[in-house]
Order: sequence, then structure tokens, then C-alpha cells
Amino acid sequence: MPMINRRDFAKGLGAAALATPFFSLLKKAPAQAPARQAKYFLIFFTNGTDVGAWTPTGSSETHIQFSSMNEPLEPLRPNLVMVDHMSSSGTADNHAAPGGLTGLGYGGQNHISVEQFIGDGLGNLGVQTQIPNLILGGVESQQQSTFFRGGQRLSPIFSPQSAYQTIFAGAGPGGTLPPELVRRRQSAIDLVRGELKQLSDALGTEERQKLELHTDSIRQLEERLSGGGGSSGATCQPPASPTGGGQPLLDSVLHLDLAVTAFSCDITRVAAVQFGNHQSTQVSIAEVGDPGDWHNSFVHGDNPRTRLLNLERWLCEQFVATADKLKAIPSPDGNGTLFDQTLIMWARDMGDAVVHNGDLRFVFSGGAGGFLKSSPDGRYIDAGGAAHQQVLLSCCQAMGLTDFNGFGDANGARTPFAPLAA
Amino acid sequence: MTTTKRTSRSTRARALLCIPALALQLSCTGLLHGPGDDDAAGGDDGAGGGGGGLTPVDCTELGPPMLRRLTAVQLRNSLVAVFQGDQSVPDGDVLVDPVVNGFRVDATEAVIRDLDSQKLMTYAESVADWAVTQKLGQLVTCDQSDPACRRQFVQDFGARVRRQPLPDEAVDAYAALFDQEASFADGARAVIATMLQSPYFVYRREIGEPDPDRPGENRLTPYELASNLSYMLTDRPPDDQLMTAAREGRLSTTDDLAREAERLLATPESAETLSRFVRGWLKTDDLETRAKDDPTNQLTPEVRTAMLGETDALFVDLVRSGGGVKELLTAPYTFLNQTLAAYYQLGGVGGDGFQRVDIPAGTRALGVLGHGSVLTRHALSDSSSPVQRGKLVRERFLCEEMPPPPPNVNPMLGDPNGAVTTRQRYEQHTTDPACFSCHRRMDLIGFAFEHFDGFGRYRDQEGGVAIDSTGKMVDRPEGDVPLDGVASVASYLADSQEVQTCLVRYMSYYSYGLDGCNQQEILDDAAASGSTIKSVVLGIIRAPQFSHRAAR
Repeated sequence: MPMINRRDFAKGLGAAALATPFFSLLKKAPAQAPARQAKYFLIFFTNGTDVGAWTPTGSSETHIQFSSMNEPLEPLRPNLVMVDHMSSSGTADNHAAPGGLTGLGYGGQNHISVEQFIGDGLGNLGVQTQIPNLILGGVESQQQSTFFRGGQRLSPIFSPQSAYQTIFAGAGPGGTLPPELVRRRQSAIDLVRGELKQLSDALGTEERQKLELHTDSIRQLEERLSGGGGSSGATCQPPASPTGGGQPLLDSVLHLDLAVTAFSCDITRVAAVQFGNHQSTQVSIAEVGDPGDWHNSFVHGDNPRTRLLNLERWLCEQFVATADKLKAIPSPDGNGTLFDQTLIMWARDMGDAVVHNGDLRFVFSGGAGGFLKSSPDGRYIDAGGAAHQQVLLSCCQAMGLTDFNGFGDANGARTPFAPLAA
Repeated sequence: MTTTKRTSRSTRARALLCIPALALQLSCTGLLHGPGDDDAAGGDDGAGGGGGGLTPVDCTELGPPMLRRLTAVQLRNSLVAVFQGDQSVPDGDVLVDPVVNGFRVDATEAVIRDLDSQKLMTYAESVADWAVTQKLGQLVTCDQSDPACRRQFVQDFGARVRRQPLPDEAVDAYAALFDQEASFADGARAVIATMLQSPYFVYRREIGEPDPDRPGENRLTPYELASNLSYMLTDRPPDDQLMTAAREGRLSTTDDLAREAERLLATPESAETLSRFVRGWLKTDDLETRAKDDPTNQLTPEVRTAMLGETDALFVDLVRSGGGVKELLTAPYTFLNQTLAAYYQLGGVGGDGFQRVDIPAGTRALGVLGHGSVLTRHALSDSSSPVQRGKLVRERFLCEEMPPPPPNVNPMLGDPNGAVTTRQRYEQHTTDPACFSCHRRMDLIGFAFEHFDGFGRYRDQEGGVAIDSTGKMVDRPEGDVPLDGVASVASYLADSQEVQTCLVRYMSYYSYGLDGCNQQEILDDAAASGSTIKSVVLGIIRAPQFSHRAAR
């Protein structure tokens, strides 16, 4: 069966390893939060790309010569790092392969994607936010992401309205919840937790693990209600519930905005937005051209791939617009803007979508407090086939993590990608 | 089913993945690579999320007591039932069903984790607000000023939410919650919001009680069996009749279960669930949203919907009328509405409803393989696809595993000199040994479908060249089977015991949400009743794996 081992999570893993940072958070005295307020923003695009058209030929470490496909990134040039030719070592060479964000192929065990690992790592460092990991986007009918935890694929929140409800959860001005609401919710939680315990007692070990996940999910909620999620002095106004969207990619644009707001309210430090799915992603965007399916039509149907080129250009524009929004918001701690504090990574599920390979490309922007080495005229790095796991580790490093154990291929490259760091 | 030795299941599945290929000395590289394209020659759906076939596992043992999270559809239907059929209950993006094996029923992958509790909470609160604002008068049958009414409300509403009466301690707990609020409306709101977050609502329970007749085994309680049966056959909670049968002890034998199953199979609700099965099995589920570049613009949304309706109707009809796989593949009749009849250029049918129509000789291919749904879904956006059609036969009818294309292979077929027809282009595979080792198993079957274009329309020629629909099914136990046309494929499959076994596997997976079991007893049970599709359903329900769990 073409899937990773779905029972991985049952093997050799206690529920604690599956649980979110809250699980461990509640058990330790919160450490002093790092002075830095680094945030990690993963923008994930499915369906690889046409790598030949992507490569900005003629670029160097001090200059980017944009290709037609990524020329709309121009406004970000001084804060842009494009990384070419990273090898997935066979882990990310087909649609929805698990390796792009985990470093592990189908044969691996206990896949965890980089944003989850970072969320856990921050928890272990004592960084406490209301939502340790916010994953959004995807396609409603195809909720299979390449986000993983404990070997299981995670489902992003598809509906922007549901994402809004979840992020702000009825909070009023200043992000506070009315005390009556908190009391009612706490009563409900107490009752539900008791019922979970009751049911759990009737089950065997393996089935109990399902409920452990549920119980942990309740713990997250409870922690949030009790005000445990730090707001770091952020005063933010919950926006109005999003409207519009109506097709997966436009919904994902709304998700980008929600993630930016969640950062600005310091509700989370880790957010990921998945654009589309490797199958059944219908695109109907005027700038792109005739409506069609991203994978079937744009990647494998057209020749020349004009619509794919246009779609990539449109995606670049969304990337830039998001960066601009981050730039316009002062950071919650008053230290620069959100953009300065956020490492933005544009990643994909595979390299070349046309011939199916793992020759991966990444785009970085923002900074995570000065982590990213930039150049006034943009930076282009030809990684020459270095392991892509290294840039994933760089993201961990940028967020202040130093222990990479448990992430990716233990026998693969274990050091961050040095050229990225300032 | 639950019977699988589930800790070893995936490992075993992985190991078995290679066997057919190795046994056949195929050089199908990338076997362990996981999902890939349905169609290496032009791209298709990326087949991720376990899009392939099922691999048999050992399910001779009973599974442990378990919980099964409701699917999104079941959650919605359950809420409508809780609110006594009111379809205006608010919708919400709460539960997500992982797609496994083409279905959304997997019992292992469907969990509540991370932010799900928050999503569930905000949704439950919004439903409670709606209910109290819009429906409190209907939900409460007693006098709200009577203190006993609170407890009565908890009992009545709770029984619908839990699909069984509440034990006293649960009534006490919810009544206490109610009493924390000053007004009846606020109390009801708190109870509704909490009950809808309860694990007794969002999970189906398969725990049971010790069976005195079968030491070491639990028999599911009557209410658990009622839920099992009802969700399996209708994706809904038990109706009043089933709840009454459970309460009155009339769900205690396999004959009781079979009786209720027969009754449910005749309801309109079961038609929806059976249709979900056939769409998942034949992988036509996304036909309505797939990109199609029909130059004639005849493949309208209405036609696509009608195509799915045709297949749904034939399958449901066969289940109810005692048909089997053979009839599914060779029925000389089908179900059409005006839209689809016109699309097929058959005429003679009016209205939106589907009518049974005998297929005139020399027009459509008989059976489900000649349905527009199958032919259009298993095709590219602008042409047919011998690869996809062959893959469908191998994976969904014969339960063979087909690997994705290996990395670094350009799946875009070139345009060989002089190639006019789809067949001629795909024959390029046959000249490249790297492709042909696998593609011979698919393309040579798919060629037999070439009288039907990528939009399910019949054609005599393509680009002025007469259609050649000859092919063969290679690597069969009896050797290579010559084919000519869809009818030859259908007729071969119709008589194959493997297809019967394969259907049992998919139906069993669909019923239990666990990897398919090749249960000989279900096959035998079904064979005793003429191997009808209904007999397979009833065989699954009669199996001890349905009614029993290993005692913990």
C-alpha cells in the first residue's frame, strides 16, 4: 500500500512523543522565554515546479538575476535568499512525498515535519504561546498534507472561517476572553475529560493512544483558557472573520493573512500555510489563464507550461504581499517589525513536478532576528546537491533550537546549511 | 474488522507490495516509493494518500475493543438526527477524514488531535447558540419552570447525542452543569455545547460486554450493534426502529442483524452510503471537479453529475435486486436521465430522474466499465488514458498493486513521428523496456477501452484512423488473455473469482475502516447466497468480527 507506515505511532512511542509541546510544558516550570521573539512562517506549495524555468540563471551570492517565473519577487530582493539544487536523497521525488518537510522517505519511521519539530523545540525552551503550531490551508476534498507528526499526516484547517474561529476563539479586544465564557468552557472541559478517561479505561493500549491524542488536544485548549499562552505584551485587535476566498488557493491567501495576525497577537510563533494539494486543486484565477487543475493541466497537460509559469508568478506575488504585511506591523515586543523577527521559508513537496525528481528549491526571506544572511542585491545559492535536510535544520537553528535529535534522517546530513546564516 | 493483527499490518503490507512484481520478474523500480501518478504517461492525480490497492492481511482473530471517530458526513448526519431532522443546523469545518485506499472511512487515521478540540468547541458552541435561539421550544417537551424538566432535557437530548440512554451518573453530571446556569436557556446551551464535544458523541463505541457463550470475547452491546449497523449502512445514527430493537433485545442474533440490515438497505439513506462505496472503489469520487478540456463543451457539470448518478443507480439496484459482480460488469441495462441519455446519443429518456434503460446493441459497452463516470474519470484532461484504465482494472478489480513511476522519468509522452491515435502514442511505452516492464500490465488492458474517448463518448475512429481495441491481459494465472473491446475485459473479470475476492476486500475495508481482510468465511457465506453484492454485505455483518471483540 503506497503510504508510510500508519502504525508507526504505535511503535516504541509513548503518547508524550506524539503530543504537542503542551504535554511537556505543563510538566516543567516555564523557563525564561528567549529574548528573541523569532517566528517561523512556512509557506508550502504543492506540485513541485518546473525547475528549469525556476532557476535564476546568471545569479550569484551577491545578485539575483530573476527568471521570468520568479521575477515578481523583485521587491523583496534585499531580503531574499534563493537556494537551488538541494537533493532530497530520494525522500521528496514525487507528488506528496513525505520528505520535503521531514527529510524522511516512505521507508522512514515517526516522520515529523519541520514546523512541528520547531514548535516542540520552542516548547522545550519554555516559549509558551496559545497555539504552538498553526497549520492552515490545503484542499477541502483532499485533506492529505505533507505535515507530519509521529508518522501520521496532519490535516491543516481548510476553511478560513474555521481557522479564524480557532485562532481567536471568541476573544474580544486585547485578545481576552470574557470570564463567563472561560468558566463555561472550563466546565465543559472538565466533563469531557472525565468521559475520555472513562472510555480510555475500557480500551487496550493501542486504542488508548487515539484518546491520548484527544486528551492532549483538550490540554492545549485548557492551557489556552487558563491564560497560559503568553502574549508578550502584544495588544492586538482580532480582525473581522474573513470573507471571500471560495477556491483553495484564494482561501490560502486568506490563511496567510490570518497567520500574520496570529503572529502579531503572539498567539503563535510557528505557522504554516499549504497552498493546494497534489491532486484535485482547481485553479481559476484570471491572471493565471484558463481555469484548470494545477497538477493535471498546468504541470502535466500544458506544453508550453504557460499557466504553470503564470501560477508561479501569482504565488510569488502572494509571497511578497505577505512579507509586506509583516513589514508593516511592529513586533509585539517593540523590537523592529514582524518581518524582522520572522523566518519565512517557501518549500515544496518535490523538485521537478514534470519529471518527478527530488531536486529541490527553497526561497527564504525575513530574518528571525538577523539569522538570515542577505545581500543588498539578493542572494542566490547553488547548493550543488547538498542535502535539503540541512536547510530544514537551518530553520530549527534560526528559531534557537540546538538539539536536532529526533528530526529527519539520523544517518543523513546533521548540520544546518551554513551559507544561510549571517 | 478489527480482526487484523494490527501491529504488524503495515509492515506486512509493505513486504507484500513487492511480491507480484518480483514473482513476475518485473523491473518495476520505485516499488517502495509510495504514491505517484496514476498515469506515468501524461500525469494524473498523484494518487497520494494511499491511492493504491489493498493488501491482504491476516484477520483470523478478533480485534480489540475500539472507538471509531465519526466521519465528517456522519457528524453532519448525526447532528441533523440529534435535532430531529432539521437540516438547517449550522455547518462547520470540524472533522477531516483522511483519504485512505480511496475511501474516507479509515478507523486508524481518523483522530482528534492538536487544535481539533478547539475547532470542535467553537463549533459546538455555535450549534448550541443556534439550537437555543431557534429550537428550544421544540427540544424541550416539559415545563421549563419545573425543576425536573432540566433532568428530563438532559436525558432526552443526551440519548439522541449518545445513541443510547444515559447512565444515571452521566445524567447527574450534565444536570449539575445545567444547574450552574441561571436560566433554562443558558443551562440548555451549556449542556448542548458540552454534549456535542463529548467523546460519546464524536466516537462510535465498539467495546462490548463479556459474552457468556464465547469465553474471552466481548459481544457488542445492543446499542453498539445498532450504531455499527446504522453507520455502516447509512452513515447515520440508528433510527427509531433500530433503537427500539436494541432496547427490546431484538438485536441479539446474527439473524436479527441481518433482518435490520435488509431493512436499512432498502432505505434512501443506504443508497447514499452504497454510492459512497462505489465512488470510492472505482475512484470516481472527484469526477465533478477534475479538470477536463472537452473541445466540444458537451461535458457539462450536469453531465458529470449524471454520470456519477448512473453508476450509483446501477450499483444500488444490483445490491437490492440480488445482483453480483457479474451483473455489475455485464448488465445489459443501465440507468439514465435525459441529460446523460442525450450525451450518450441514446435519447428516449426524459426528466432529471434516472430510469432503467436497456442498452441498445452496438451502442454503449455493457456494465460499469462502459459507464461515462469510469471512462471519463480514468482519462486525461483531454484524451483517454490506457494507463489509467488498465491500472483501474489491476488495482480495483484484481486487487493488484501497481507502483508509481520511478523518479526522474519524464512521464510526458513525446509525439512519435506519425502517431495519430492515443494508442499509437502510448505504444511508445512498448518500445522502451524501462517503461514496458510495468506498463505492459496496464496499457495492454487499457487499449481495449479505446473505443471510448477521455469524455466517455463512443468513437469509431480517432484522427481519421480506425480504432484498434485489441489488447491483452498479461501475467494472469492462465497466461496472457487476449482482449478486444471493453466487453472482453468485462467478460473476463465477470467470471473471475479474484474479482469476487477483491470486492469482498474493498467492501470489508469500507465497512470496518481497517485494512481489508480476505475473509474466506465472508466469501463462503456470500457464495451460499449466490455471491450477490448484498450477500457480501450480509456476510460482513454476520461475521464474528462485526459483533465481537477480543476481551481486553
